[in-house]
Amino acid sequence: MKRFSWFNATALSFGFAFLYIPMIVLVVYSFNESRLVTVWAGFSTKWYAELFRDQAFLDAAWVTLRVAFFSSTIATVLGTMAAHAIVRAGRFPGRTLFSGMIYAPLVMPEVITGLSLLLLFIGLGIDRGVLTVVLAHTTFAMCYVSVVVSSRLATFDTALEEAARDLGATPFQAFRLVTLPIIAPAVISGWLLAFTLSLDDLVIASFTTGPGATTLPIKIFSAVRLGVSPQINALSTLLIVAVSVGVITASLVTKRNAVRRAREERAADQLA
Amino acid sequence: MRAETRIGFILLLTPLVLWLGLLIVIPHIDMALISLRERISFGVYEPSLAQYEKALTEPLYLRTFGRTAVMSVLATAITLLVAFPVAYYIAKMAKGRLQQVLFLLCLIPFYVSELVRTFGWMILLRETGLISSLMQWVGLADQPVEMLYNDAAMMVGLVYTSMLFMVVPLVTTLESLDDSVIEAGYDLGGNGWSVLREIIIPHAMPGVVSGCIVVFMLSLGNYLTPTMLGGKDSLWFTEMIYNQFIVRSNWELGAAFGFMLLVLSSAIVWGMLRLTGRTLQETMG
Repeated sequence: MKRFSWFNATALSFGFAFLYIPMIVLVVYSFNESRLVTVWAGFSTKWYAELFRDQAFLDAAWVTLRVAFFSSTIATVLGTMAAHAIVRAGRFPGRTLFSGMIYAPLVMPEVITGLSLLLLFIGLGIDRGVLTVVLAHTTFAMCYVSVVVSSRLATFDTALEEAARDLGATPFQAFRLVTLPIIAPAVISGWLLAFTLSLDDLVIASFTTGPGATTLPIKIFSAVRLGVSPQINALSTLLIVAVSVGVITASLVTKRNAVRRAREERAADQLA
Repeated sequence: MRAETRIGFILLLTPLVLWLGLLIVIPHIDMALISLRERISFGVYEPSLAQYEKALTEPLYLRTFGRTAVMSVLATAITLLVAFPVAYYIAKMAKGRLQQVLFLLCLIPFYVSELVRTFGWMILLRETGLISSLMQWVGLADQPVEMLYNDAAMMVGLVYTSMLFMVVPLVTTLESLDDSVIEAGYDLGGNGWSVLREIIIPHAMPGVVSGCIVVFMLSLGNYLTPTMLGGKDSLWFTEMIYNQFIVRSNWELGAAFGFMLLVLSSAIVWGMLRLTGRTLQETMG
């Protein structure tokens, strides 16, 4: 499409300005000496220093990282298994119900996931804390992992797996030695997605957490509701930088892999 | 299936079914059962439809329910209008490296926590915030203007949060549209508007549908944005559920609200899928 119109260019810049201005404002004002947004009192990193002296924030960050690590790891294992079952098993009794259960949390409001789990934990008499948040996050993140992995599995050449089986591998060996290395990029991006979702989640965590397991989003939310806090600007900036670095690295790695795969396929074609 | 494969398959499925059954199916059944009972006295419950009766007759509850649905539809429509040109530019105008960079630029805000992005909007819109002081400086206002805590601010927040979920499916469908078809439309005497209406939009329809479903669901189920940016009278249905549960400890009514939200959202998704003849799996993938 060569027709360039000012309308499109304007709409595009408007769209991106809309996306980025709030974040740019946060980053800029995290370096503001003054507590007020309207006054620029000079460059300063004092809010960062204050953030790292605040034990409550550090504790919340540690809880959040632990929850995100464990839930995304378990979710990746379960999500990959689920994707395998949906894509590979063909028709089996209850398949629709099973895939419905897998995909339900994707479209279900988080509030409902959170409150139904709260009722379950109370009903079973489980003390709410880090463990319950991990269980809750695993449950909703595994759906996202299985979506990412099953879209990769759908384009996967099953002949490779069958060859391994014909050569005497057990199903598990065939999966570990043949399938897993090939779908690894999708599994890794599924893990990253699960990790980010867990880091971000406020609603499900507030329903399922208990005393002593305050996650960072819960802490930020209550700080923001209490009023202006430049420390939150500093923390937000750190999160924005971490996420941007992560996303850009991930996309560069994926691109390099794609280039390498294309080169290898060309080489294989020449040999054949 | 060979016997060995079948055993492997059962081994694969058992932990999944247990996990999903325990943490998704049972909690929802539990929620439904709780919504269908009434507290008679301490620890004594009786099955009844009282919660639903209360939910459907109390004007405040009903109004909030309706308002949340209408506002979510509006948010979906605005998101579509904002996201379409962006998606079109990324899919059709930008080439090569620029295309990848723009797509990445769309992705980054999605990965940054919703809380952080909403907080950014609060800094911009609040009474002592950037836009208010900018307006005073330019002379558009002679005193601080409060732009937070109203429906417009909430709408901005909802559109912002959902934009990526509209852009991605639109880009995917628009990319598959052959440029020469658009050229042909112009060559046959079409103008920008008729080409858009008769060629581009019909082709992008599957993307429009999946984008709209996802955005609608996200808006309907959003808790953070209405709470942080919305005002006293822009109560969101999810806030009401949260309040019944956490603030008032009225589980029965909270569960009934939760069930109503679940039914409303499933009905709308089901209806839209029916209308367009697609499956949920296709739409989400």
